[in-house]
Amino acid sequence: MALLAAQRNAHEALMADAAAIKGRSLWEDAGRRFRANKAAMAGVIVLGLISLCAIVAPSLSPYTIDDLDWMNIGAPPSLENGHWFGTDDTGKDMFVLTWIGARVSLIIGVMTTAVALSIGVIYGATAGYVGGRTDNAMMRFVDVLYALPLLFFIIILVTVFGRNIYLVFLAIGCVEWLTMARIVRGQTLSVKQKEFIEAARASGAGPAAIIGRHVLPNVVGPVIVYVTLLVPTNILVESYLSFLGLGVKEPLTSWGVLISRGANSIESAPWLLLIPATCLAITMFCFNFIGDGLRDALDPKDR
Amino acid sequence: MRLLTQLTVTLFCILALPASAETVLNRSGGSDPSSLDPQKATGNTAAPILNELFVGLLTTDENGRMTYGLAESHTMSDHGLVWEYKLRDGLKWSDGTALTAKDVAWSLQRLMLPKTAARYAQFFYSVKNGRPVNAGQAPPESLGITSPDDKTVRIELSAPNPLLPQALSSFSAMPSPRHKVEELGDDWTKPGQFVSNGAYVLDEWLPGTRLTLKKNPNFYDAQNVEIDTVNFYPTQNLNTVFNRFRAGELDAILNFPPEQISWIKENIPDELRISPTLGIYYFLINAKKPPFDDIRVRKALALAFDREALIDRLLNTGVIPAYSFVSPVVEGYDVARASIADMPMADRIADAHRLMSEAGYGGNNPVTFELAYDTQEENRKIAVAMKSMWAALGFNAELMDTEFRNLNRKARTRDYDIMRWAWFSPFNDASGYLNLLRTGDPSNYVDYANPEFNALMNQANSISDQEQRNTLMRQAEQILMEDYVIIPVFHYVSRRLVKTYIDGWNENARNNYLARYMTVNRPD
Amino acid sequence: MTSYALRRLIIAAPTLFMIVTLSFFMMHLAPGGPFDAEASLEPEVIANLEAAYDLDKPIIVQYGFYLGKVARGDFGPSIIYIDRTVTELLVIGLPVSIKLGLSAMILALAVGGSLGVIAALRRNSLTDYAVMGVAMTGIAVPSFVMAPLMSLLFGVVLKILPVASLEPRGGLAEALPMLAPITPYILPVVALALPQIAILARLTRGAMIETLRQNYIRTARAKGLGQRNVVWTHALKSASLPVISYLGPAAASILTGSVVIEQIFQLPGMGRFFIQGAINRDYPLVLGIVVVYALAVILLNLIVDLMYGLLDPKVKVE
Repeated sequence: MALLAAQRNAHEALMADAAAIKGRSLWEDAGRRFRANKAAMAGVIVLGLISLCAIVAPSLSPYTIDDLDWMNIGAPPSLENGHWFGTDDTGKDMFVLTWIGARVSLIIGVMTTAVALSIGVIYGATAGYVGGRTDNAMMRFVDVLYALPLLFFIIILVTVFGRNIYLVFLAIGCVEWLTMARIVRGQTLSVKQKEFIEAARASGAGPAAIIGRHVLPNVVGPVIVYVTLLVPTNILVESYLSFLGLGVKEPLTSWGVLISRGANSIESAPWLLLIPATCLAITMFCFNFIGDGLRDALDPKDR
Repeated sequence: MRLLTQLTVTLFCILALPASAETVLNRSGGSDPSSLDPQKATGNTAAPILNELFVGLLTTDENGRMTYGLAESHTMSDHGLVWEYKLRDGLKWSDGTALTAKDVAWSLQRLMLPKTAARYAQFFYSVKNGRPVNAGQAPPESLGITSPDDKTVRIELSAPNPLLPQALSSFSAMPSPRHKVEELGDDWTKPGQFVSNGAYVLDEWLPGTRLTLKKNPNFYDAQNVEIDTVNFYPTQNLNTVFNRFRAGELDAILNFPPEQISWIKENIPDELRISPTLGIYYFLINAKKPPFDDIRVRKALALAFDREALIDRLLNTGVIPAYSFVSPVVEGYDVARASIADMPMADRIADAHRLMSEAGYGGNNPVTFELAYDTQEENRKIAVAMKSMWAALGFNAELMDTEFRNLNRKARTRDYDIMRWAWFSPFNDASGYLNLLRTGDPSNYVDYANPEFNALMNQANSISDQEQRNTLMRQAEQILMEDYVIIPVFHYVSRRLVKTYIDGWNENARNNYLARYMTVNRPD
Repeated sequence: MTSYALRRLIIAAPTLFMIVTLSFFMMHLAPGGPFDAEASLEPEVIANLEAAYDLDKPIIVQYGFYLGKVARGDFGPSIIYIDRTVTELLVIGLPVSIKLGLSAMILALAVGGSLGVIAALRRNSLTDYAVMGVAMTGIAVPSFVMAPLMSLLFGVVLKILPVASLEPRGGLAEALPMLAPITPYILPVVALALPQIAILARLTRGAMIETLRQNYIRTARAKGLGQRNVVWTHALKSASLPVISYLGPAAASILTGSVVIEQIFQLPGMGRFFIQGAINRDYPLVLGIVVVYALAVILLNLIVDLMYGLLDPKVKVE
C-alpha cells in the first residue's frame, strides 16, 4: 500500500518535472543549440551506433564468445573464415569479443556513473539545502574522502572482496560521487536564494518536495555535463584496473581487458590492440564532444 | 649541425676510450630478492643471487650438478644417521676473517631457531631434534648439528634422509658471517657492511632498480672467476624484460612473454634456450566433493583433455605434455605414466563418454564446477581451452580467475572443485614430488590417502640405496597416476634468452647458472 | 590565512586516523595471508613467522600495536623485503614518485597551458582544431597503451632512451653525458603527463576564451594595449583560476597514474611497492604507502586552495 503510494508520488513528481521542463523555453533553446553543434551531434550518432553494435553485433558473427577456433589461433582479420576482426591467442573471435567488451565497458561506465550520480545528488542536494552546521559537517566528510588515494582504495576493495563485476561498479561509483556532491551542493546553495523557492515554501511544501520539484530540476544542467565526462572517465578507470589484473574476468571481457592483453603482442598481432583501442578512443571522443556540446548549449555565455 | 658535430665528437671519444678491463654480466631477476640473509631468504628469486654470494658445504658445478663446496670430503656412518663433512684449508670470509666449521654449524643452528622464523627450516626436520627445536620445545643445544673441531661439521639425523646432501647445497644451509650478525643484527645484509664467502660480494642494492655484486678476492677459487661484476635487474613485467634484452640492456633473461616465441624463433634463434626443468603444471581435483568422489568422473576429465593440442596449438612454448607427476629430467628415475597416455585421442574421448554415462552424468545431466586459476595469461589460456574440451563431455566449467594468494588460501582450506597448481621440486629426486601426496603432508591439498602409496613412500624415504628407492617410488607413482586425483598438464621448461657472447651458461634442470663459471666476450 | 591553513592541518589528523583504520581492517580482511606460498609450510614454521610479525595476536591488539608504532613514525618491518623496514622502502620510493609526479605536473602545466592559450587565441582556426584533436587523443588513449609503445619506439627501435629502470642507457645518455641522469625519467614523465596535458589544454582554452570576452579585457584593448600585453598581463592571470582549481584533481590522478607507469617502466617508486605489497599481502608496506599518499593528497589540496585564495580576489580564505 505504502509502496503504491510512493510510486504514485514519484510518478506525479516526474510528470510535474516534465511539465516544468517543457514550460521553460530555456530547455528548448538549449536543445536547439545542441542540435546545431555538429561535433556533438556526430558524437551522439556514433555513440548510438556503437551501442547498437554492442547489443546486436555479437549475434551477427558465426561464432560465440565460448567458441575456440582451433584452426585459427591468433589469425589476422579475414572475411573468408568469418573472423572479421581476427582471433585472439586462444582462437576466440575478436569481433565477438570486441562487441561483448563494448557492452561490458559501456555498462560499467553507465552503472558506475549511476551509482555516483545517486549518491552525489542526494548528498549534495541535502547538504546544500539544509545548510549551516550540517552542510559544514557533510562537506568536511567529503574532504576527508577526497584525501583517500582513490585507485589504491579501489585496489584494496577489489583484493578484499574479489573481482566481482558488481563490486567494480560499486567501488568506482563510491569513489567518484564526491565531485558530483560538490557540484550539486554549490548549485543548490545558489538556487535556494531564488524567489520561487520562497514561494514554494510559503505555500507549505516540505523540504523533500522542494528539493525534488524545485531544486533538482535547476541543477540538472551542470550535472548532465559532469555525467557525460564521468562515463568515459569510469570506462578508463576500469581499463586501468584491467591492466593491473584487477578488472572484469573470464568469461566476461571489456575493452580494458582486451587492450591490456593486446598491448603485449603489438608487434606480432597488432589487431588485438588496435581494434579495441580504436573503439575505446572513438567512444571517448564521442562522450567528450557530447559533453562539450551540452555545456555550450546549457550555458549560453560560454559560446 | 652543431649537434651533429658534438655527436660525432662524443662518439669518437667513446670509441677512443681504451677497452674497459672489467667484465660485467647484466642479468634479470624476477623480483627483488626477499632477503640476502641465507637463513631468512625465501622464494626462487633469492636463489640465483645467494648462490653467487655464498657457498655452503656443497654447491653446484658448471653443469648444475652437485659438487663439494666448503667441504672437501664427507663420511656417512651408523646406517646413514651420522654425516661428517671435512672443510677445505684456508677458507676465509670476504673481509679476510677465517671461516671455520663453527661458522657453518652456527648458521645451521640459526636456521632452526624459532626466533629466526626461517621458512626452510622444515627441510632439516630429519636432523636430530630438528622439529622440537624449531617449535621451541627443545633447547637449541640438543640439536644434532655440531662442530667437533674447526674443520668438521657433524650432522646427526633422527631418521635416514637420502636428500640431506641436496638440502645442504640449498641456500638456506649456506653460512652467515657470525661475527657480523652478532655485531650488526639484522643490518648486516646492508651494502657496505655485507660479508659473504662465495665468488661474489654485495656492492650495491637499490630495491626495484639494481643489485650489484663484485668479485670476492678471498673466495677459495677466485683465480678461476672471470666476471668482475654481476648486475641483477629486478623486472616483473615480462614485456619490459624482453624489450630491455632486445635493446641490449640485459645479457640474459630468465623468462619472456610467451606470445613472443615465434618472433624470437624467427629473429634471434641463437639466443633462445629451452630446456626441461623440475617443474610440473597440474590441476588439483577435490576428490572429497561429489561428483569428483567418483573415480570415473575424475578419469573422464583426464581422458578428454587433449594435452598435445593445447600445447602445440595454443601454448607453443616448448613445454612437455605431462602424464606423470614426476618430471622426466629427475636423474636416474624412470617416470610412471598414466595408462591413458598411450591411447589415441579418439579412443580416449570414447572412453570418457562411456565413463561419464556409467557414472550417470553428461547429456541432460551436466557436471557444473568451478575451475580456479590465478591471474596470469598462460593460466587463462589453459583454463579456456580445458573448459572448451570438457564442454563436449557434459562438463560445465565455470572459470574462476583469482589472485595467487587467494588461490593458495583455496588450496589450504580445500575451498575448490578443480584448481590450477604448480610445483617446482626443491630436490632432483622423485620424492621431491611424491612426498607432497602422502597423507598428512601440509602440501597434500587433494587429501590423497592411499595406504599403499603411503607405505611405499615411507619405505623409500627411510633407505639410502638410490636404485631401490627409485623402484619403490616408481611403484608409488604408478598407483597415484591411476587414482586421478591430479591432472598433470605439462612439465615446465625454462625459457631463457642469452646473448651469444656469453660462454658457460649451461642449461640444467635445477636452473643454476653461476657467474663464476661464465665468461663474457662482449663485442665492441 | 595562516589560521586557515592551520585549521586544515588539524583536520588532517582525524582524516589520517580514519584512513589508517579503514585500510588496516580492509587489508586484514583480504583472503590469503602473507605466508601462503606454493610450498606449504609446516605448522611450526608458520607459528614462528606469525610470531615474528605479531600476526599471532588478536587483530584488535595488532591494530593497537600498529597505531602506537605509526604515531611514533615507525611503519614496521616489510614482509616481502625481509631485510628492510617499510620506512626504508618509503625513503627509496617517495623521491622517485615525487620526481616523477612533479616533473609530469610541470610538463603538463607548461605544455597544456601554452597549447590551450594558443588554441584560444586562434579560435576555430586549423591550429585550434589540431591542438584540440591531439588533446582529445591524449585523453582517449590510456597511458598503459602509450607507455609501452613509447618504450618500444625510443628504447628498442631507435635506441636513444632507456627501455626501463633508472639506469641511464641509450644514445642520448651517451651523446650528452650531462643529460644522462635524467634520461630514464623522460619517457615515464611524458607518458604520465600526456592525459593531463590534454585536459589542461582544454581547460586553459575554455578559460582563456571566457576571459577574453570579459569587459575589462575589451576595455584594455580599446585603450590600445597591444595583444601581447593584454594576453600576458591581464587575461592569463584570471584565466589561470579554473586551471589552478583543477591542479588538485590533476595531482591526484598523476599520483595514481604513476602506479601504472612505475609498473611499466619498472621504476622503484611507491606505486610499484604498493602493487607488490597488495598482491603479496605485505600489510605494513601497503598501510605505510597509503598513509604517505593520503598525507600527500591532503597537502596538495591545501596548497591548491591557498594558491586559489591568493590569486582570486573574490575568494576569501577564512
